[in-house]
Amino acid sequence: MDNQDAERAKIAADADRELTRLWRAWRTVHQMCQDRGYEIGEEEVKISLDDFRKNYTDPSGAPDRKKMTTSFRPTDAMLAKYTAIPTKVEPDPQPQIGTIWIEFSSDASIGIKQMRAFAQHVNQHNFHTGILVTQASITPAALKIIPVVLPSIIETFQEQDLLVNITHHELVPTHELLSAEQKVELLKRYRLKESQLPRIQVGDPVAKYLGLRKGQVVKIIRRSETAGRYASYRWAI
Amino acid sequence: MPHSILKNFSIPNTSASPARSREDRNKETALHHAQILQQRKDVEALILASTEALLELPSSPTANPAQPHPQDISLVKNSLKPFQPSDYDLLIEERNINKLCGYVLCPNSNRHEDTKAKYRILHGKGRGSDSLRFVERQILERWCSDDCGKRALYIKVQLNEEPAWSRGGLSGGEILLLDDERNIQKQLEDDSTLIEKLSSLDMSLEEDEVVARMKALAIERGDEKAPSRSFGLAEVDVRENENLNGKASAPEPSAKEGNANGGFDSIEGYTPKFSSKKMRDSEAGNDEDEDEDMMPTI
Repeated sequence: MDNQDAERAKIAADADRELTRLWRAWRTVHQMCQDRGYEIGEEEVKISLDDFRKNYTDPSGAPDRKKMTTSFRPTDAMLAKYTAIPTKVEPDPQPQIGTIWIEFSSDASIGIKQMRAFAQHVNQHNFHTGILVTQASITPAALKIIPVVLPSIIETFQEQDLLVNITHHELVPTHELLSAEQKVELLKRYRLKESQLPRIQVGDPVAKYLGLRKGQVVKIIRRSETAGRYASYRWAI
Repeated sequence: MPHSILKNFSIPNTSASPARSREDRNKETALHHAQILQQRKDVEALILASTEALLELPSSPTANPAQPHPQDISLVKNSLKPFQPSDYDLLIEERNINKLCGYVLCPNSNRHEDTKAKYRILHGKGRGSDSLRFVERQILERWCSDDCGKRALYIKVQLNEEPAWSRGGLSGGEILLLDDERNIQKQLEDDSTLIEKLSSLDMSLEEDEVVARMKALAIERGDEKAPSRSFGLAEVDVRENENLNGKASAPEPSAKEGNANGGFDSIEGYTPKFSSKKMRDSEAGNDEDEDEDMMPTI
């Protein structure tokens, strides 16, 4: 009897540990969406572990990833930021952003089939962006699907990469996406071409966090001992 | 009125055409490279599509991996042609994720070891620790059986290591399945028309085909203007100067023991082989005219 109890306690402890991990990833994803500028209530971001346990577990107490899906709409400020400057050819440009869909995958490994299913779901429900949070790394062949399904944007994260919010680390400076107008202003002020700016890769962890796309410019604000604040700019490639 | 050096109207006319031609050349180069990239992307898309198609094979869930449906065979043979071995590994991985045997023509599910351990110990033939083999569980779980593993790896070794977009016009040979090979061998044993079969299997290339292939290779390299010699080798005409008449007598290698261990008469490690004097005497007088460049040694 003691053995069985010990076994049961061990399983419960494992489930609890996994639940805590998922809770942390869940919070990080919400903070990420908030930082990008989606409409999220403060109580959604700061969900407590108990509330999370109540909502996202199955009767046995293990976390249920199938329940862990959500979607957010962009705020007006975000829409404005993602709208290109009107030109003669296109006097009324549409914002290049829309509803985001977030899903935690319950499959242990992600192959072509799972990725196709996710892409289809994003496409069918007219989501602009889809975020897939996976337990293990995705196969290289499945990653090749991502550029095929454009204009739907698919971003993938691993659970273990979301356990902490990297932007909260003291060595990570503030990154701030510039709107199209701000970018033009910057280039005009410094009399630059955009290719003359320093660069940041779109695969950079912070760039992934902000969902940067090629051609966008971020302003990086660092603390400086002499100047107080120091701003630099990076062109996403 | 003095001529101004600035007002030379002929210059813009002459300089315009080279400028344009340079522009044209730049454009041509850019287009050339863009086309290469596009071709590469096309091939990659094709491989991805083939991978997805091969995930669904075999077409019937009761198919026998040893005797697959002919339609499936031709599909596999055709779609695997642009694959590299690494692409093939990805295909196996994808099939395993879908809980299928890694061999494309096998409908069974792959083995499942009931453990989370990283390695498994297999007992082979023989005794003692030599017979034990330590195998990664993941590798063990790729196939449904050892036979399927053999069949799948038989295909893998036939795939071209070179990426399909840089293979140029050269198409690889036909991919054979392990069972094809076995069937052919069986037929060979049974069949009375052995020679006929052998000739159809003959792998040696005809001379014409060699020339054609060398030409294709030259085009691929970009030096198509170069005349393609029949085997791509420089033609070296070796003529031995055999005539050593009396006055041109090299000093006789004095001792044989010097030859054995690279002694005094070796030239940078190479020991020249002198033919015996007997041979020279017999061949003397055959070709005296080839003696011009010989230094008469005293």
